[in-house]
Amino acid sequence: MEISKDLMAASSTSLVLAILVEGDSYGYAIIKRVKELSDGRLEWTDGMLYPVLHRLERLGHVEARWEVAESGRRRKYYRITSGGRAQLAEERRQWQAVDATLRGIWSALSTSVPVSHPAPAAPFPQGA
Amino acid sequence: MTTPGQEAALEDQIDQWRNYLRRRQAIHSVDVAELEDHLREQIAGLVDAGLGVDEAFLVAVKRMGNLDALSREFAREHSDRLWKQLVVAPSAGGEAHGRTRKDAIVAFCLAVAAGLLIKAPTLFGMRWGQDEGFYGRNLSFFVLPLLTGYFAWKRGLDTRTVRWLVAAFAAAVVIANIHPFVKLGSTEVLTALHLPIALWLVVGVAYAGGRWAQVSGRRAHQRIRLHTQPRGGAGRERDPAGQPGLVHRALREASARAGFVRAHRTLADGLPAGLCRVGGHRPGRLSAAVPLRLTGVGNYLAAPWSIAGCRAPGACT
Repeated sequence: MEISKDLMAASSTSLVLAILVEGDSYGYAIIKRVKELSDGRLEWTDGMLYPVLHRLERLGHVEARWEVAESGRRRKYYRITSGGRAQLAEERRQWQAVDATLRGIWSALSTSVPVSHPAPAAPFPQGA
Repeated sequence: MTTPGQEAALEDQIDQWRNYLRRRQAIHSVDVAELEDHLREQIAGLVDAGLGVDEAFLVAVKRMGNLDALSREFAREHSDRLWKQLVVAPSAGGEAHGRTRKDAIVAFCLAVAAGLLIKAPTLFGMRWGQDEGFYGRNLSFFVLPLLTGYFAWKRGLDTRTVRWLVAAFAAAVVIANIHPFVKLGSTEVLTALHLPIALWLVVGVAYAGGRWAQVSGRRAHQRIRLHTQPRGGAGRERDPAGQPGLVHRALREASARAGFVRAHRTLADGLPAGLCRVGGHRPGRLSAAVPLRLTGVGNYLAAPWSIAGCRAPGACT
C-alpha cells in the first residue's frame, strides 16, 4: 500500500514530534523509527525529513544541537521543547477528530457496502 | 567487510556527492554535513545487510531523494537564503568557489578605490559643495573606470582592447575638463548629463568582453541538451581508439560554436555521474582526443548528458 504524499506530509509533524517525545534523536534514527512504527508502509524520502526538522526548529517546537556520535562523526540531535509538546497535544486532538469522523463513516459504510480486501500482490520490499 | 580500496572509492563518491550538494544555494554546508551523516549511516546499514559498498552508495543516494526536489524543499523552508543566488553566481565546485571569493575581494577593493577617488579632488582644492560644475562633469570618472576595470579583469581582455578603453576614458576626461565651460551653462549641463551615457557604452564594451561587434556574443551562452544512452556503458565515451563517440561529437560541436564547454552527465536522481570540463579551448581546438573524465557511479549507469557551451569559462553553469 502506498500512502499518498499529501497524507505523509500532513502526518509528518505529529510523527516527528511524537518520536522525539520518546527521546532525543537524529534524522536517520527518526526515519528508522517511522518505518518500524508503520511496518514499512510509511516510507519517507529520506532527505525530505530534514526540511521538516528545520521547520520545527524555526517554529521553536524542537531544539537542535551538534554532538559527536560514537562513530566519531558530528551528528545533529533534536530535542522536543515544551512548545513542541503543546503543539503535539494540539495535533493529536485534531487527528483524533479526523480519525473519529472517518471511523463514523467507515462503520456506516461497512453495514451497507462490503469493504474489499485486496490480497497483497507481492511482499513489500524491505531494506535493499 | 570493506577493503581499503573500496573505502577510498566510497570516500571519492561521497566527496563528489557532497560537492554536488554544496552547489545548491539553498542547502548550507551545515545541512550538507547533516545529510552526509545520514548518507554514511544509511550506507553502513546497507553494507551490514550484505550489500557491496558501491551498491550501498547508490541505494543510499537514491533513498535520499531527488536532489532538485530536496533543494526546492530546503529553499521553501529557508527562503531567506535564496538572495545569495542573485549575487553569487552558481559555482561549479571548489575551484569556482575560490573564484567567487576572489571576485568579491576584487569588487570590494574597487569599491574602496571609487570611494577614495571621489575624495581625491579635495587634494587639489575642490570642494564638494562649491564646485558643482567640476563634480557634475566628472562624476562618471569616479565610478565607471573602476567598473570597466573590473569587467576587463573578469573577462581577461587583451591589451589592445584595454588600450582602447583607457583611451576612451582619457579622451572623455580631457574634453570634460579643458573645454572653457560657462559655470552651470547649457554646455556644462549637457556634458554632465550625456557623458555618463556615452561612457556607459564603454563599460558595455568591457562587459561584452571586447566582443561588442559580434551580435551572437550578446547571447551569453547556449545550452545543448543531449539525451544519449551511450551503448556499452559510459566507458565507451573514453574513446580509446580515437573514434569520437556521441558525446565527443556534441562536445566538439558545442566548443566550435561557443568556445568553452562544460559537460556533465546527470543521473535520474540528480547526482553528477561524470563531470568533464573542457576549459580554455578556442573554437576548433577541441579534439576528439580530449579525455572525458568519468568517475564514480557514471561508470555504472547510462544517463543523459548535459552539455553547455559558453563564451567565457566562468559562464558555463
